[in-house]
Parts: sequence; structure tokens; C-alpha cells
Amino acid sequence: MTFDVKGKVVLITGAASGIGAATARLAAARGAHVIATDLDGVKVQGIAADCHCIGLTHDVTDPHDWDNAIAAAVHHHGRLDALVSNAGIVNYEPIIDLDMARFRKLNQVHVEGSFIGMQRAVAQMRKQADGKPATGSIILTASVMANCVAPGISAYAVAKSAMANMARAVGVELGRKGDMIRVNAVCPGPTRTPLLEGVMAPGAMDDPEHWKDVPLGVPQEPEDIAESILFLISEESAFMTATQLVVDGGWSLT
Amino acid sequence: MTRTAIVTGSTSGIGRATALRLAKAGFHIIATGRSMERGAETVAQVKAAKGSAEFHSFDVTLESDWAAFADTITSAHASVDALINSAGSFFARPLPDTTLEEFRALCTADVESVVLGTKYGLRMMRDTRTAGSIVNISSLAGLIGLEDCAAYCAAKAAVTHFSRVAALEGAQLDPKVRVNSLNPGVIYTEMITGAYGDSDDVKAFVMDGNALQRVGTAQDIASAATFLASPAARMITGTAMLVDGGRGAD
Repeated sequence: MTFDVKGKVVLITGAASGIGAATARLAAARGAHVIATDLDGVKVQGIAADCHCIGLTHDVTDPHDWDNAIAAAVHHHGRLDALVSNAGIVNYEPIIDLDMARFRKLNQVHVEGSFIGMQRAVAQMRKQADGKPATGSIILTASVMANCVAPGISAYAVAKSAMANMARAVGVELGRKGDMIRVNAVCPGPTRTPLLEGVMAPGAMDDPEHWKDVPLGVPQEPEDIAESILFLISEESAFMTATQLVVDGGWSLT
Repeated sequence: MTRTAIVTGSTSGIGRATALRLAKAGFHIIATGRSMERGAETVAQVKAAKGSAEFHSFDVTLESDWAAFADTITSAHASVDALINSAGSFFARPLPDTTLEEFRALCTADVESVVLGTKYGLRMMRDTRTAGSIVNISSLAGLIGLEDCAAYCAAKAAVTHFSRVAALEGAQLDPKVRVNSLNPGVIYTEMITGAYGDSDDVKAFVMDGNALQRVGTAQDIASAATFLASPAARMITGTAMLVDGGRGAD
């Protein structure tokens, strides 16, 4: 049972690994035209080769890279139907030791990156609408950390809550201005991604102990988030905008 | 093996649309409701769309009815994969004019029905050893206020939070059962037209209140319910999934 994304032109950032790569693979497998981008151009080319789609080097903090990525979508597929602003980094650091440069970097990548991307994507969606209400779906990969916290996560939590509320603000604004462009945030709980594995002891995420705080008790995989993202891209979520979809196995319940 | 989905309140509105959408996804539909005639119509619509369905008439606010229904279902079916608790009621009236009896009646129709549905849903899934999914249809009104609707808002807030606790309990079963609330904004169904009337003014109110400025349909909610019932939502439990056209965001 899948939700149709066939023929949709989808730009996915942070697509070289984790949730972005899983979304690119799943979207491509279900017939979407994917533009997979990442700061790591070599690695994203590998993903692109796997899913027979376009892979691009893309620094989401650079407006020119955004112009380039959207131009690629239009050049190859004539339009842009969905943006998955997914590129992210993580930081664990006690607040009193928090380095301002790293704090800013977190916000630059997540918040400014999504901001620039949304501006560019909306401009393209309006341009291709041909005078009719513009359509499209924008998904920001936020986090359950948008609404809850853990020690050491302050900079990341700030960035992710900004993303989640930005999705809400932009969703309302676009709707009120007469667009049918939808903006939603997906809020994953702990997910087995290279990003998270990178800040944990080796093998920690393969240990069942690690998942005992998650009521569903099994590792959350990148594909689990990808499925939610694809639902938000599909027309079956056409009445969803300005929402946060939490996917966390119940982790944030207690 | 055929997967089965129970849909309460499937004699109209969101329940009927959800039964049809789940049937399209391959579920055998166990439709429930009060009216035999309207239940037969839901079954006919599912069958016309090449699905399979059966109808059981019972009162979702009576525990004895749920107990008998659960026995019937677990004897006849190898698994209960999804339960959509969609049956519910609504009224709008200023609080000073609302009687305690009216308040209680709404809590019975909207909260007790879901509490019983979830209780017997968990039992049916436990007894058939199914890693099932329970979707409780709540409302945006369970998350934000709606004037003249104190009883409805209180009832739907109860459904939303009850579902979170039920998610924790469902996760203790083996195999684990997922429980979520689905919180629609104003959806143009008989529940709304029954309370406010079916007119262009009502339609305009329904549209203007949400950011997307279109009428929310039963199909919009049916799609979300089907998503929550599906393996695509394998890791979603304890969530309040909002489908409201942005109505609650501003």
C-alpha cells in the first residue's frame, strides 16, 4: 500500500546518506523524478547512480547552489513539485561550553538553508503555475527535538524548533496568499542514520538497549521517515499544511 | 492472508470514506454503525469498488455490544489489523445554555465510544496476535478552542490524550499495537451540515477558516487514516496527526 508520487519532480537535500538517501531511493523506486543533492558531491553521485536520478553537489547555505539545484530540476524535468529540505548536522555540547561558531553553523544549515530553499522553491512553483494557484509540497526534516530536549542538544533543539515553526508560518502564509503550496515538518525521533551513529559509541545503535526508551522498542530506520515524507509529497495529504508529523515510535510520549 | 480493518461510524462521512479507502488498499472491511440500511449502502459501495466488506450493527457506547462484537470478529477472522474509531457526535451551543445532560451525552458518544473501542481493539489484536494499528478520530477542536463548542472540545481533547496513553499500553503487547489520534479540521460532512446547515454560508465559513481556503473532505481524512493504518507508518504511535488545511496554525 503506497501513496502515489509517480511523475513528481522532487528535490532532496542531504541525500548522500540517512533519511535523505532513503527518501531519494524510495521516491525514485516509486516513479518520482528525483534530484538528490548533498555537500558530499561524490557520495550523492553514488546514490544518484543507484536510483537513476540526478545527483548534485549542494551547500544549502549557499544561495547559488540552490539556484543551481532548482535550475537542474527545471532543465531535466521541466518543473519542481516538491522540496525535501533535509540536509542537517548534529551537535552535542553542554551550553556553558557551546562555541558560538558551532551554534551559528547549526542555525545556518538547518534554518537559513531551509529558508533560502523555500524562497527559491516557492518562486519556481509560482512561475510554473501559469497564472493558476501554485501547487507543490515542501517538507522540512525537523526533529522531535523541536518540542522536547535532552542534555547537550540545545543548539540542535533551537535549530529544529525554528524549522518546525517556520514550516507552520510559511504554510499559513502561502495558503493565505492563494497558493496551494503546502509546507509541513516531519519530526523524527532517534533514527539509525550515519549522522546519529557518528556521535555515538561504535555499534551503540545496534544494541537493543539503545532502543529501550522507545515504546515500539525497535530501531527506527531512515526508510520509516522516508515513508512519511512520501505521504506528505503525495496528493493524498493535500489538506495537510503547517503541521508537524511526529515519527518516533512513541519516544516523546513520556 | 487478508488484512482486516474495522471502521466504526462507517455509515456516513469520514467513516464511510475511510472504509472505501482502506478497501482500495486491500483490507477486508468490517463496517459498523447503527443504521442497517446505511451500513448496507457502505458495503455496497465497497463491493462496487471491487473490495470486500461486511456490516455489523451495534451501539459503540455499550460495553456489552463491544464484547459481543469482539467475540464474533475474533472467531471469524484470523487477524484484526486496523481499527478506525470514527463514530462520533457534535453539537454547538453556548456554554450557559448547555445542560449537564447534553455534556454527558456528548462525552458518552465521543469519549466512551473511543475508550471502549480502544479497549476491545487492543483485546482483539492481542487475542489474534496482530501487530495492529488503532486510529482514533479526534479533532482539531481537541487541540485548540472553538467557540460554543466547550463539550466537543473537551471530549476531543480527552480522545487525543487518551490515545497517547493507549499508545504506551499498546506498546506493551506482543506483538505491539500502535495507537494514534487523527485530528481533522472542519470537514464538510453530515456532522457539520447537521449542526450548522448545508448552505453556501457554512461552506464559506469552512473554507475561510483554513489557510488552504478549500473545503476539507472526508477523503482527505480517509487518506490519512489509511496512512496511519499502513506499514508506511510502522514507527508512528502516540501521535496526534493534524489534517486541517492549516486552520489550527494561525
